[in-house]
Amino acid sequence: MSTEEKYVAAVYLVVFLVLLAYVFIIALKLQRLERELAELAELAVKEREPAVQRPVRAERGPVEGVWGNREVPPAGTRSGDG
Amino acid sequence: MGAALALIFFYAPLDEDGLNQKIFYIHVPIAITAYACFGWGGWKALRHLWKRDERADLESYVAIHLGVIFGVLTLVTGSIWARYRWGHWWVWSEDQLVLFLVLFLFYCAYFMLRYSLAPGPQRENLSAVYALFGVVLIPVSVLAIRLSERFIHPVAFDRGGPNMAGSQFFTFCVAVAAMLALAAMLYNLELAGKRLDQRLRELREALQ
Repeated sequence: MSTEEKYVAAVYLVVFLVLLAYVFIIALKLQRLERELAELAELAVKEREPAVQRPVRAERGPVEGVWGNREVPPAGTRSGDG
Repeated sequence: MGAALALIFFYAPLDEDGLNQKIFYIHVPIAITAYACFGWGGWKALRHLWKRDERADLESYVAIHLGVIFGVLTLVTGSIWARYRWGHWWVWSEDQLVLFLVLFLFYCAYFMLRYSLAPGPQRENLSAVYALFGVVLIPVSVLAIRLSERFIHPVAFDRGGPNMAGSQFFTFCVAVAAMLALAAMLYNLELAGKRLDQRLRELREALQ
């Protein structure tokens, strides 16, 4: 390989390597975002589970105790809820 | 990009510069792309200040970031070419080189400014104003080759048009288009990642 060819090869190699490094960094970042998204999805499912159970408890109808035999008022209307 | 490389190595004829002339087909399109990225960053900065476009700040940042990467490539490829042709990695007396370096360092300082401020409207506004100032340097850097008295740097284009054969000019145009397309693709990729990151942060804050 002549000196001239070495210089030309060096230029194209540098460009290729820099762009490859850039794409690699972006790919790593996207992987991190994917992991974060999975964590958030898990967190969202956990947050949603009690919210789904709450109306089920409210639909049980009259309950004994503090409220006697009256209907349990919907969540948020009792004193102290807000 | 593949078509551009095929044209560069199998179609474009060699001139008196020899094989070293193949560097021109990648060095100049990279420099043009760097200018385009800085210009696009300036345009988005103007949109941010003028129209109060919320997305423009991030778009300006990504364009300038990409411009700096292409700026590094311009300096490195130019230095390799200069080492072979002139026998020096860098010539301080050459206006075009020094002005491009000034432009490059100016935009490097953009990141120092941006990350020295807390996220918010103040950071966005100051970054936008700084990016707009940099745009002024772009035509100076491009025209420096005309202002230079020594003319060491080869002149590919003058008032009479391109100083090259038709096939060389065609290859050059394809290389410029390929490099701009590559930059546009990388710009969209990085922007999508940044926006996703921003939305995930908002979602995390909303959930916690």
